[in-house]
Amino acid sequence: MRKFINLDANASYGPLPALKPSSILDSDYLNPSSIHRGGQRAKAAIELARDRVRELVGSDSALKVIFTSGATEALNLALNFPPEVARGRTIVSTTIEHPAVLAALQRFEKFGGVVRWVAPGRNWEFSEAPFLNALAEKPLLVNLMCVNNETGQLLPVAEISQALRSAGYRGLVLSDAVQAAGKLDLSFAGLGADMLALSGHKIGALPGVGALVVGNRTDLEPLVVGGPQEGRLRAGTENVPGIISFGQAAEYVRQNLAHRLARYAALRDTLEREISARFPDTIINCANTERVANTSSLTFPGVNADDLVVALDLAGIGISSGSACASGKPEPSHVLLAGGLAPATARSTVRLSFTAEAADDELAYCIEKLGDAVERLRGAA
Amino acid sequence: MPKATRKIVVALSGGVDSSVAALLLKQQGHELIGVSMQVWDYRNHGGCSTRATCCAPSDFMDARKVAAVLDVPYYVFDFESSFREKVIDKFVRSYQQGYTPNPCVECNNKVKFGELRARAHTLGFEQVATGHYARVEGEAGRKRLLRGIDGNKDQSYFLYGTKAAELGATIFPVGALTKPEVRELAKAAGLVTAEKAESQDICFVSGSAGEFVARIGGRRPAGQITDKSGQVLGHHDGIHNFTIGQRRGIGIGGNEEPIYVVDIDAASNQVIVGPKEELEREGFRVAETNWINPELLETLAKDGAAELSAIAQVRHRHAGVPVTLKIDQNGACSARFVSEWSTISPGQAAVFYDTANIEVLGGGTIVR
Repeated sequence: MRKFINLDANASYGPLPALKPSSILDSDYLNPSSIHRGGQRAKAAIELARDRVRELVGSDSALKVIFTSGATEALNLALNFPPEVARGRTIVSTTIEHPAVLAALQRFEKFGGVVRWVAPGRNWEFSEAPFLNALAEKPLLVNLMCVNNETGQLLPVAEISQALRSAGYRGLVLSDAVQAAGKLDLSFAGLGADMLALSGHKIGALPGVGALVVGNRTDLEPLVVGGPQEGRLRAGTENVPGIISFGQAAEYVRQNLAHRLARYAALRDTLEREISARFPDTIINCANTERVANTSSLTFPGVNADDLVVALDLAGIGISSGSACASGKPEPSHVLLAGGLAPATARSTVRLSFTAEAADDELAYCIEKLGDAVERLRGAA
Repeated sequence: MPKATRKIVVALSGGVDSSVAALLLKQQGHELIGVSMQVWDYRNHGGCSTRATCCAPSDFMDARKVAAVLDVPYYVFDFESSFREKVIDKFVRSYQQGYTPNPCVECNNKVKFGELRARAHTLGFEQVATGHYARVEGEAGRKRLLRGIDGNKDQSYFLYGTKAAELGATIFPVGALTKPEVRELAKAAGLVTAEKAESQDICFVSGSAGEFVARIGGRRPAGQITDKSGQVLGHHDGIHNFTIGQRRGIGIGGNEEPIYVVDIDAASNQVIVGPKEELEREGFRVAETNWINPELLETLAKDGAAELSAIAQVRHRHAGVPVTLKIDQNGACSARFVSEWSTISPGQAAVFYDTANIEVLGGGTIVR
């Protein structure tokens, strides 16, 4: 039987073949806080991994890398403003963020804060104006993601943060860089952000580890309190194997960026070209915006996206409708709605996201099975 | 000759019966997908206080585990909106009109064998299997629906809404087994659901039906409790809290013999009570009928037969009593008890079996 094909890498990349299991599960590693050598070795491995993750976003040694259980926790940490700080303050954010951000901002509102939401324009574009307009309220924080998880759209983080700074903005800039890591040359300094959130398993590390990368911000409030781990910002014994795998994956995707990007582009462009040729009414969402090379958001009018997900799963291919959600409750994606898609159109939209390891014959198989499924589902409708 | 491999969607509720249904089909080598139907979100409706329900998310976890053990792809299909419209709204409306509805019948007809079958078809799966205790027999094109072998568990009552044509694409793998046999099979296969308690009652109602109806559809006004002659005996807190045949919780004491709710008059907002005899009817009418084999009506017409002898089951867990049926050309029907009168509750399903009390002929909703 054919190996299951992961065309849903934006949900989870799966462990990179380049991971070194023997060093991830090294039996010498004990509690990193222990004084003895079992602790010393584990602690050193964590610090080496921290350097690798720091290098993924540039190599500024002043950057603090705080390991968390994942990007959701990293974003929650970044947005963890207690009620006395939140009250009466403003956060500016796009409407197309990950649910982790949306929920954290709802909590900010519950604590008495105000959120100014910035929606994309008609062609998904984000201009500086609405961000600058909000400056009158002296925002506490401005948040916009680097790359949207559903469409692959690249947001103008550097341009907007620069415009904000030029206009005298002195608050914080947060960016969810989960889908940017490994898909572009990520530079903390270049983005002009104060905080970036990263996820391990989205770049091929083990699941259960993420990081918040922090420039000069000293008022972070830990979500998890206890021991002094992670600079007192995240208590609890570190996820040693997860963190080591994160370091390995970060190093691998950084060192191999150029040829991986070329591979992503070849895979995606071939798929989009052939599917569009077979179904000329296919809509490629964000086709006219800058986007990362591994993600395709495709609308097949008249096809129920959830049926398409099941049909492809039965063919041994993993894709997703909207963002990953195991609840079985298909609400149309807030991202696609924000981009101006009608609910019915959003429900006919699937996301295909490649790994760089996908082989040519796997790509051909995916194109064939996707096309056949679309055809059959249209026939059945 | 080995049976051909078929593509089957098996509905997995997270209970032992549907687990074993999947197990048996898997052992027969069929190509399966397992599906749980998301029909009601407890988080939006005041939570769920009982464990004995079949549509709670924790049951989906069990279904997922069973599917994984059997190596069957598993999906949750969302049928909330159609369940709300076709089952819940009708349930609430019926209660508010003084009926005692049977939502499981509607759910089977409209959701399980309606929506699920349609969705399965879309995915290229023609057969639908469930864990119901019922049997389908006969050759293609002449399928018959029979009671399950296990008299205690038989669920054919809930399935009278099927058509003969659909029975050909319907499989009840546990219908020829007894419940203890089903549990044995589950245990032997190491399925996590082997020892799981029976699901009882109505899956989406976690307290009393009356509370549920009030929460979803609003309270009905308080009114009088009277006897048959109209004498006022007390007051009730809304007719949605009562069902015909109810004995406990009426709120009227001091009677020598037990009293029952014998009727509910939505128009005058009265609950009528009386002794057990007043519950008994010499017959009843049914509406919204379904006759599984349409030839039944043709045969009756051809023979010029005005009446048909049958066994009527007038509620779940009713053994069935002999009736004489008068079926109109349009399928509507009235039933007259032959030997003994029986109590009936308008709103419940009446299901008619052949005189051997095995084959489901059809049924309908009891009306006043």
